[in-house]
Amino acid sequence: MAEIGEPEKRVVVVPLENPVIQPTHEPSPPEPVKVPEKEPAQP
Amino acid sequence: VTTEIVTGEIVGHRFWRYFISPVGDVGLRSYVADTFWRPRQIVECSETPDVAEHGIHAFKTLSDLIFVCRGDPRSLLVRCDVTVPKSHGVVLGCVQLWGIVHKHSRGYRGQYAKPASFSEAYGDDAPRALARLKASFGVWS
Repeated sequence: MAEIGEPEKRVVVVPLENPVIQPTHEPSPPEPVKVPEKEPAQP
Repeated sequence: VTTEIVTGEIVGHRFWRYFISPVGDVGLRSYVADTFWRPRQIVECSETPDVAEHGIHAFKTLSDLIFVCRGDPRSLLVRCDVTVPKSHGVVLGCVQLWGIVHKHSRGYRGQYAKPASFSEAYGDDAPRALARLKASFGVWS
């Protein structure tokens, strides 16, 4: 199987099934939603 | 050098050797290398395709494959008599490739692979060998 011709391009193919490329770290947790404790005083 | 990232699989055409065990089971090996291909198993090349000519080879089109066979897939049978142990025939089909894949003008070198279909077989007991391979791998032409 050596007759595949001249090299053209390098690609990384990520399968939809049988994923073998795993993330190397855990994803970061979502940022907490900041809620103001009180409504600002009205003038 | 930029690297394109794509999802899915690349499908190419290739050929394998098959062998028939004394009890009639049909096994599959790479045509050049001695790698075994087994049902429900992914084949991973020993070195990534970034190294020299390594990788699981496949052709872009059936015409590219037939061109290498000089128009006759039966010409591939010459290798069956010189392998140890003897191979009993060759089978043509398609293979799914993924991971690092190097694209060439007429084919691919992939990091991971599994058979996608078997279409033709030539050699000893070829019709039965083709049917057994399709059934055991759960792939169809």
